[in-house]
Amino acid sequence: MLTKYFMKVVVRFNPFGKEAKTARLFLGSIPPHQRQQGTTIQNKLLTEGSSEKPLLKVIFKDKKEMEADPTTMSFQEVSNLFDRHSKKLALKETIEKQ
Amino acid sequence: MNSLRLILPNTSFVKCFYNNAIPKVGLTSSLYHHFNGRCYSIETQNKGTKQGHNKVKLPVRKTVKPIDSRKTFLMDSYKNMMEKSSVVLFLHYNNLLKQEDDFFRFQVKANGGTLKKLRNGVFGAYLRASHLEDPCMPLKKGDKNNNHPLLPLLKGSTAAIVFDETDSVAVSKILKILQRHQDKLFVIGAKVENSVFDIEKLNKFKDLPSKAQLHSQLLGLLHALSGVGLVNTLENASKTLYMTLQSHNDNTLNTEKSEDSEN
Repeated sequence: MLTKYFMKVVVRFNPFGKEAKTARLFLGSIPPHQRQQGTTIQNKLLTEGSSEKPLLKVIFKDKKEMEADPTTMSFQEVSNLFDRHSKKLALKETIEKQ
Repeated sequence: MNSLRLILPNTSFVKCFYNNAIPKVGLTSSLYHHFNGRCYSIETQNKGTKQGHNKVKLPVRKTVKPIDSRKTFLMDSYKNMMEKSSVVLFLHYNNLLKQEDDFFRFQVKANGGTLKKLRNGVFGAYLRASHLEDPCMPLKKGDKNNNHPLLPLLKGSTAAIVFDETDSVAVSKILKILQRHQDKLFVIGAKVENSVFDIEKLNKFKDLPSKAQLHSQLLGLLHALSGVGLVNTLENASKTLYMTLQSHNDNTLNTEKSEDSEN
């Protein structure tokens, strides 16, 4: 997964729920130097009684926001979804450099 | 290790050396087991020679993985961790740098706990067999407990903070430290004594006073209530039993006396 263009990551999940695997793998795929370069990671843990829905939200460096539902999507599907926009940004960057 | 086996003389000195003198802390797990295994073999040989070639049979332990393997060692250590320690906090950790890892380990140790990173596969295997006497032994299909309440927590990088005693103050201190580093390490659940806690329950638990304080509160309450009659109520059952037995005793004595006088 391309995490280079992430500016902010918001993860909301219930650790005992079905969505925990996707959410935790997503969190684990962000490299440590990313945090030092300014990407903020916010997480909120839900419990069985909470009314909020699980969520994966990424704000890219160009302010584009993308959301995914970890209950219905696998980690691979989520990474493909976010990669779609990251690849656009990567292409833009290479064109600008030239 | 084979060469070692050849060199070992059959003396009590060697036994002593292997039992006590080797620092077990510095050894890797498999090496430690190797030494332990050798130690047992020496002991059996000695006993055999002393008791006229009678072989002393040690109980054979059947394990799925080799007895001196890392996985068996980890299973045993997880069993020890879950059975001996009363509070285990389970955490999710993101990719940590070495210095961050060291920092968290130091902070946890300063508050009386230990931070361990878990191997999900082995820990899961332990949880599925935790109801058995020896979780390392080969399992039949029906023996596995796939509904252990902690199993859902092993989906991703998981660590555990272990406390030997139930101390809500230490837990609240650790949670306070981790609150500041939510992007690196956060608590996802806990095992407190024999029950599994989620975050909500854990937050209630951390606000409780410490065990010693609770004991003193209970004692104070009992002292205050003793005037009202709590002590009397508690004493009542034993008192009535004593009275009935005493009356029975008196009755039997009286009948014996009357029988004697008649004779």
